[in-house]
Amino acid sequence: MLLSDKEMILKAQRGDANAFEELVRRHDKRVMSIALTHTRNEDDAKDVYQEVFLRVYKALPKFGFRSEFSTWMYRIVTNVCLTFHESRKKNQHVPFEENLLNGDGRLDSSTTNMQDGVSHNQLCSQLESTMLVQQSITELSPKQRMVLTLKHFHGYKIREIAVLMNCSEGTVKKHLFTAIERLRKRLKDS
Amino acid sequence: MTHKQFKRLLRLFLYDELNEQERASLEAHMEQCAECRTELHHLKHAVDSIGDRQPAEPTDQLLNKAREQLHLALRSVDQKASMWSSLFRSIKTLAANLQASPDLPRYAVASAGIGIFILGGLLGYTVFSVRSPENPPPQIAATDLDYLKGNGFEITNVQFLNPDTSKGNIEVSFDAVQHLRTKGNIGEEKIKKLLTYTLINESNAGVRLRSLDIIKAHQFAVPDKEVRATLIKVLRSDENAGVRREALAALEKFPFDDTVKGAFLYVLANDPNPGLRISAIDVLVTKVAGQIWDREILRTLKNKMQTDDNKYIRVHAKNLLEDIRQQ
Repeated sequence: MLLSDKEMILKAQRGDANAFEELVRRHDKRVMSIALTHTRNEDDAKDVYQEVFLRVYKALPKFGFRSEFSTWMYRIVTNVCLTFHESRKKNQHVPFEENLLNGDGRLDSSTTNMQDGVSHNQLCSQLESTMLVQQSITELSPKQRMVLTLKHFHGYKIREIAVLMNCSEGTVKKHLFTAIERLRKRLKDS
Repeated sequence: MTHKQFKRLLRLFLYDELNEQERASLEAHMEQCAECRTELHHLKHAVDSIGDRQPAEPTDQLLNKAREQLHLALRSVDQKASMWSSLFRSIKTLAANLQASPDLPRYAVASAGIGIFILGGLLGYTVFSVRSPENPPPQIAATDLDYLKGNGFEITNVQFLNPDTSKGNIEVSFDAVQHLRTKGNIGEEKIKKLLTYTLINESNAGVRLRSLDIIKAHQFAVPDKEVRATLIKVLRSDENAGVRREALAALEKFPFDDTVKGAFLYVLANDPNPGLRISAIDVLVTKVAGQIWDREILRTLKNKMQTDDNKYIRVHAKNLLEDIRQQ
């Protein structure tokens, strides 16, 4: 029978390495997904992933079940994503174009939803628009981007994001609204 | 509510964050207010342009790589923790012994304290100092060479550094390796530990395979949890597909409990090698035949039927699911 998270945590707290690895496997797809959405870069996402689970591993013996394990862990994810940005501030250039091109350096049809009958001009316009949005998202502050990641792509409720980011719902709304406003302005200016 | 307040609710409306009452009021207001309808249209355009509300989906390859790196990082954390805990344990024992000997002269206690302090300093220097060309390996005297030779050390990896042949001065670096040998039955703890250590730490895949051959050939009187855990670790983290295949074959001999089942499901769901995924399906079919199929296996098979990039596995999973439905 499949053990619950709580049972797995108790085993891991007693030093059972397999139980910890099982916990990782239960949650790591979503952790990686948030890291990928937030960093928009596979190498950075892998660094975030490793840092998150190392922190979980070190802090797990002190986890006292005062909150849900997932809430506790996604708080760590949020913290790591935000501090990761601070540590990379000086080297922030992200090659957005790489996200839109496949391994051969050709336009990735999955990114642009390329379909038969779409003209070259339409395709270029779609590409420009996608790149503009990607650029705009990376220009948001880390907190605005984190709120947008959790809200827009992962469907968290504002009150849940407030718990994860350890701030008020009003602050979350402020970050979300500013992010949308910035994107809107950027699209309008173009 | 004022027009300005309704306007503020538009963004929350887009993200379905309004309660029923707020939503109804806003919808009623928008029927009357063209400005709010236009604002909502623009906002919707901006939000839609961010992209589908689908999170980034990590590939199996990325996830496996990240798991592998995490596994190595955790091992390194454990090794450091183990080193520090044994040091602190030793100091604690020494301190306890000193305390338990009231007759011991005070100068002896003080000397022990100073000794521990110096030991700590030396240890810190050893652990944290960076080896650089300015910190060369220790030089040895000719008599030491005799000692090494006399005690069975083998000299390998000889390198000549900055040879100054004009004056006849040379500097040599080398490794002094001592071969050790031990004998015993595979059921003995020391041999099991050696085999499992080799499986995880040996860099040569051939040696890891040889360890697996020995484990496979042996029928353990009592299923050994440590060997099983090591085999599962190999399945999850060894980069060599041949080694993972042999680990899978070795694990087949263990009783098919939840842990072993979980390992086979892991391979089926995550291993990058299609041959191994096929083997995992075959083993699951054989082991579960005649029993009730549990949900976890059915879910994994269904997922494989829909998403595996290997056509054979998709078809195999589909046929299996059809067979199960007909049972």
